[in-house]
Amino acid sequence: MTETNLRVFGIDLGTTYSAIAHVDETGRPTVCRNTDSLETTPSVVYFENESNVVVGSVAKNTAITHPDRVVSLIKREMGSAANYRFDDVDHTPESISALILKQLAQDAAEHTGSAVSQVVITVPAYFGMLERDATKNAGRIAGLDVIGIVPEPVAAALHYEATTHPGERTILVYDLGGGTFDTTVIRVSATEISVVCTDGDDRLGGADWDARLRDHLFERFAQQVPPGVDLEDDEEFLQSLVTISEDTKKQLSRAESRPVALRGAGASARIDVTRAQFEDLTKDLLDKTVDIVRRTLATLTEKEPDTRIDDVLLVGGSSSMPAVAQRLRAEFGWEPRLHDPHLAVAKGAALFALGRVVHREVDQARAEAADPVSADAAAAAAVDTVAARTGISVQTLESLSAKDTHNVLPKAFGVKLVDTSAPDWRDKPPSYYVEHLVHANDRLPTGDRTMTAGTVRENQTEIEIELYEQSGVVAGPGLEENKALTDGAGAITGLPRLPLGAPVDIRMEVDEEGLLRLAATERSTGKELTIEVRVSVLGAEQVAEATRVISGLTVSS
Amino acid sequence: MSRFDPRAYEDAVVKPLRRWSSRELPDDLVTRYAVEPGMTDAQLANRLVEVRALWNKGATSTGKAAAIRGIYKAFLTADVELKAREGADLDTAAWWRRFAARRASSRQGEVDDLAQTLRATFGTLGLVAAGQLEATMRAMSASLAPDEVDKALLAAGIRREVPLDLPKTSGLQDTVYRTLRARLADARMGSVVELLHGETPGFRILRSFSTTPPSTGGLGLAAVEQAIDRANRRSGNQADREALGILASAARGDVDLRALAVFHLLDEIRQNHAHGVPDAALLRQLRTSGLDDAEARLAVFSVRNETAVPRASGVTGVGELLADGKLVAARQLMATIGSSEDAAAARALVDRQTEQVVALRVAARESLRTGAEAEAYHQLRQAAVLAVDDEDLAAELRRVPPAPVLEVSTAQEGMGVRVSWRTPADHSDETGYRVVRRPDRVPRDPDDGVPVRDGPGAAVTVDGKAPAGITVGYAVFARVADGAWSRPVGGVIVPLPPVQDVRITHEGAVVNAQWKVHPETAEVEVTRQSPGHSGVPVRLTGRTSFTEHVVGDEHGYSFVARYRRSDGSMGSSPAVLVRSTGVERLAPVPALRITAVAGPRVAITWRKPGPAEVTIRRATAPAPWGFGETVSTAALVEHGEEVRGDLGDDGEWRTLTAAVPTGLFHYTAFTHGPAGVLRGQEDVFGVALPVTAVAARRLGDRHVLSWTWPEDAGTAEVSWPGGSRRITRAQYRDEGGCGLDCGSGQTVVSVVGVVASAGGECRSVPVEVVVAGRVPAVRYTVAVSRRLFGAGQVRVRLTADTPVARCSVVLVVAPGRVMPLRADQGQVLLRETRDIGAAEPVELVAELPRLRPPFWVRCFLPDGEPVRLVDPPTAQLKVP
Ligand SMILES: Nc1ncnc2c1ncn2[C@@H]1O[C@H](COP(=O)(O)OP(=O)(O)OP(=O)(O)O)[C@@H](O)[C@H]1O
Ligand SMILES: [Mg+2]
Repeated sequence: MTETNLRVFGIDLGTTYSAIAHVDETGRPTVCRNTDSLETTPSVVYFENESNVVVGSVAKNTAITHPDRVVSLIKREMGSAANYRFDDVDHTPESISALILKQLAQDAAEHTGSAVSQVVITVPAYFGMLERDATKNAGRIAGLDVIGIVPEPVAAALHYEATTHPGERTILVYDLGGGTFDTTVIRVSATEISVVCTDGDDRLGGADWDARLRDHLFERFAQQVPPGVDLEDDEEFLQSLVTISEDTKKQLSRAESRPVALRGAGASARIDVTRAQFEDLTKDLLDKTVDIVRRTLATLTEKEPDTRIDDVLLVGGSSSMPAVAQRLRAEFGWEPRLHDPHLAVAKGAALFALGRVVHREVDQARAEAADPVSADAAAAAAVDTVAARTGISVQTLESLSAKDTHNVLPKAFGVKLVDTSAPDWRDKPPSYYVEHLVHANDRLPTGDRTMTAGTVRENQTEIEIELYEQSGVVAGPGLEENKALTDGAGAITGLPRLPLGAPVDIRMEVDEEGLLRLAATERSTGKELTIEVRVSVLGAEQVAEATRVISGLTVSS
Repeated sequence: MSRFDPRAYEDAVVKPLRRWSSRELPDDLVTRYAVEPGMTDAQLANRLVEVRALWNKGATSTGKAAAIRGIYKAFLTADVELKAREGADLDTAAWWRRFAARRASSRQGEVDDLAQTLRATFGTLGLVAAGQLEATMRAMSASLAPDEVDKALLAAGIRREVPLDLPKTSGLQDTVYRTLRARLADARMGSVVELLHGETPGFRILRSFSTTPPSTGGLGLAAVEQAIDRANRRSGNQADREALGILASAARGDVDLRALAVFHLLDEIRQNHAHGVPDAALLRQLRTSGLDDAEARLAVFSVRNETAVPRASGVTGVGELLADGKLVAARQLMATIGSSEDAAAARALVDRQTEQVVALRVAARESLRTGAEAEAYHQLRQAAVLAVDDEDLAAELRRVPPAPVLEVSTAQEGMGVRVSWRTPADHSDETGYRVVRRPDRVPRDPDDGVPVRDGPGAAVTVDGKAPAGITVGYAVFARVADGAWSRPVGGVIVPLPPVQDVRITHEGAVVNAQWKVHPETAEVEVTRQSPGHSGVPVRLTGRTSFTEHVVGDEHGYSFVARYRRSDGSMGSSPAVLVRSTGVERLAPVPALRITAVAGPRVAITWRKPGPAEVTIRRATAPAPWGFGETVSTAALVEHGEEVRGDLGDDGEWRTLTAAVPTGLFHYTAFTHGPAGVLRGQEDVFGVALPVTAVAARRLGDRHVLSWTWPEDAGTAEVSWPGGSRRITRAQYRDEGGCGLDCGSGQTVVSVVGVVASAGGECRSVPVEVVVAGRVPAVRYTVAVSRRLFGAGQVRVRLTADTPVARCSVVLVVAPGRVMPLRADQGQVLLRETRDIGAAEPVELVAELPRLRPPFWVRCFLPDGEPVRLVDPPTAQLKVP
């Protein structure tokens, strides 16, 4: 056990802002300030030239003058194969995220005075395996050892649990960030943190509020400039409007109204925006979050009919908007708590990371011990050592390592079947639907789910299996409501001529890590097809290649 | 035969004529006289008696509307004429049979004519509004009876329709609506209906919403929720989902989604219509969006009737430029003519106008030499009309001294003297004025005393530095730019300014007052007026303040400033009455809007912060205080100078319009209160002189703009919807104006004069010019055949690029070498009104009188014809 591998960090890799935290000697999670002395860093990357990349507020401001060399909101692309090219070098969402991670690690190293290697990175609860993998790859590309990926609401709940009274509680985390919104119902207790159900919209966040305000300011300003002056031609004005809109939005969380000074295309004006006006402009966006909360509560009732929400936690920077708490109070009668909205996720991630380390040390100590009795003693000694090394109390460490976390499946998965419900289905071209075996919000691991299908043609010698994933935020059986998984198809071939309706047993399971396994067995022959879906956008070589490129770049903020 | 029913007759025959705008009554006598087929002579005679009796009654009845009485009177008058013409025959059934037969054959032509015009004009939509129909008939001077009009409509396949009053607002906040529109476009949705129900060809929505087959939920919240449900099951439909979110919130907020959907559907239609997109294209657009065909017609028809687009006629060619007085432009255009014959003809025209200009200039110089300035000015003005684009000429005109100003009056204003005058009619915006002050008498020349104002602008100035107590003379001199000064006009005044800016605070029992006085004030007398008391003199601390203890919480004070006259006696200013009131809350001015207006002046607008006074100061540097900071009056006056001018109020908003020097300045608002002055919003602004005489010519889809440059502007910024360009003076000279590509519709173009200065640019007030839309072109060819003996013949063939209904053409012959530029410069051979189809040329033939060559044959359109006539090559027009 070395000093350094005890220093682990939690990273909130956000759509618009990111933060990095660790647990200090007093046992409290602390956020590492960046070189601007700020706790959060804009998730914006500016490709200055072929050897230098700038991350953070400087990059964000540079968007005004060099919009085509700046990338923001990259998190929305995680898990996709989007490509970006600067100075003849290709970048992926993973490699660009890696640059942000690298910057955070660098800042944290400066802040704590020692190198950063082991990290836990948070992801939205709805991130599927694909996106989680991409996030893990981003960490590897940045040269970090990613010891865990944790859902953001779980991290927030961990931090909440660590700072409030103990006892089992059911909380609803309302996370309205910069680019995404999610609601998660979580059960917390001294020993377990488990997600009960989750829902959200991956394209709804502060940036949408900004866009509305930006359009509004633009319109208001346009009314004040002489006719014929084309503001749309003034790119610098348009870009500065982006920054001004976000700043004004934040100010309106504190003040009832703000004067906004605008200057563009040669004209100048000062425009007053009131909070009421702003709330009116964005009412439909807030409505949407409320609808999603309702949907979450409906899912909860379906899953666990008598569960009560004990506490409502507001996290994500955008939940600082007073309208959020007001609306939740009015709609549901809750007293929501703003729980360190900007930093709860990063701090929770730091706690989670430390828990992982203690766990690992304890496991190792037990494994090396000769017998169960000495194993217990060795485990206790290991915790003591960690406590001595880190200055954190044994009690804190024990409660952290004792915690188990459980997640739920974000989306439903199923297989494509022929619809045989119509009496004359045989005479018509086949119509397909998707039968889901595992559903969104099923607890992970799901355990085995089975079904039996039948062959649909006389003398069939081959059975094709295709795996589908729910496409939208709500599941539906229609083929157009699902998308086929890459590498998610296969066939059982070489079968004797089977009679119509010959049974095929299908078994599906998703493990803790989100790995999906499917087995299909033709009953009469016992022939089996298994599919394991472990999808990753970047292959191992590609990760290695990106790592080389990124480590050749200096990042600065 | 039926009985004569006077009421039915009035309804059917008289009332429809109420808005009959033609001078002629419909000549459908059968209806007018209520004659029925198959009447015997006796029945007929009886019917005429009955009808005339009704007319007599109707014409004099006080119970009828004047319009109805007028129709009866007209019937009677016409009846007298008819009786005189036809005599006793009128009472015979035979005459009426003959009449009916004759008329039936002759009216058919007019009915056909109307039908054809209606088809050509309204055929696309198949609908016509009452006003459109009436205007068309008026234009055709058609005097058809209502049933004949109906016939024409039927033949043309056109129906009368009342335009619908369609939603003019979305019901959403503007930004939210724009977002909705953008998201619908992103989602490739043509309409709100499509977003909610998918493609539903043939939906109806203008009056109420329906589709075939019926779609569930209509256009309400239920439909939105269903659509959201569907959208939630899919991915990659972010735009749909955001648009649906907006609709859901709107529906919950009681927004009428049908009205919203209609507004969105028409949004682009309205814009396109304003840009002159033809109806057929608008119709297609609406049908593509899935709107039912009949509704699409009705929608376009209703939009069309929301506003009428004015159309203007265009001019082309050297001749037209000359007619507009664009001599320089004409000369430039002439140089581009390829054919030598055309070039020669153009040169003759240009030379003739040039000679006229030269002659006028020579005459003007002579007038100037003999001291007749008004005459010289008049002559140069005439020359300038013939060559509006000649900068030299404009300069020469500026050097003629203008007429002196009229009726100078002087009056006390604030600390100073207000000098105002009337400007003679021939002064323009460019006329500048110098106001000169000197003691004792009116100054005699512009240097006889101290100038207190110099430059163009309002016919008023305030001399803030006028001495007080003595006689002061003022004179006003006028000139244009750097031209010669006019004779002086002036007046004298003895200024006795009252105290200014009295500020009273009243806290507890202490009243504190401060004010300003003219530096020459000898003393100030303040008296306190309490109810039921005569004035109590107040002891002052110096000349500009006092502090006193009082009982009661409201008092009136009267302030009189006294001055020593040159003869030693004392003069008193008018009294200033001020009440001591409670402390008022002050607020700095948060926003300023500064615009350049003609002058050069600025219009500064702000929201009045309660009753407190606001002043604006103009300085070359920013105010040294922060927003909202309190500033002492003493410090304030050190910062630049106060902007003074005309104040105008519009509700809470106050606008100060003031003449300012050109150049860049900081303008800062100050709110004055008893405890000092609060610094408000500040903005930097510079004015430049505007361009003048902006004019536009269309050359197909291109335009050439021309204007007169102000002395100091080096650049102009020209902008139009969808584009802008900057043009320097040199480029302008090279291009011979400013060429633009701004499409075929009518467009408003604005021109801003720009002067670069150290801290930024100074911009003038924009000058706008309307560039006419493209109008249909009618081309023609001329063929002249002469015979040795007897008259010759002229054949004119007219063709149009788009069909033109009832185009009036005048064919003119003019002897001599110079091409006629207007119809009245020759002899009219033919005047014809014809429909010109796109495919079929129309041929006109006229007899040619015997003329000695050379002579010209040319066609013209009457003024206001919404058509452009394109001449054939000059060789065709000229008979050598
Ligand atoms: N005081 C405030 N009032 C309103 N909005 C705020 C305030 N402070 C921050 N925000 C907004 O919060 C957003 C950033 O929040 P946060 O850092 O939680 O999001 P993120 O982690 O980047 O995004 P996500 O969680 O969606 O990936 C930005 O849109 C920002 O403008
Ligand atoms: Mg976040």
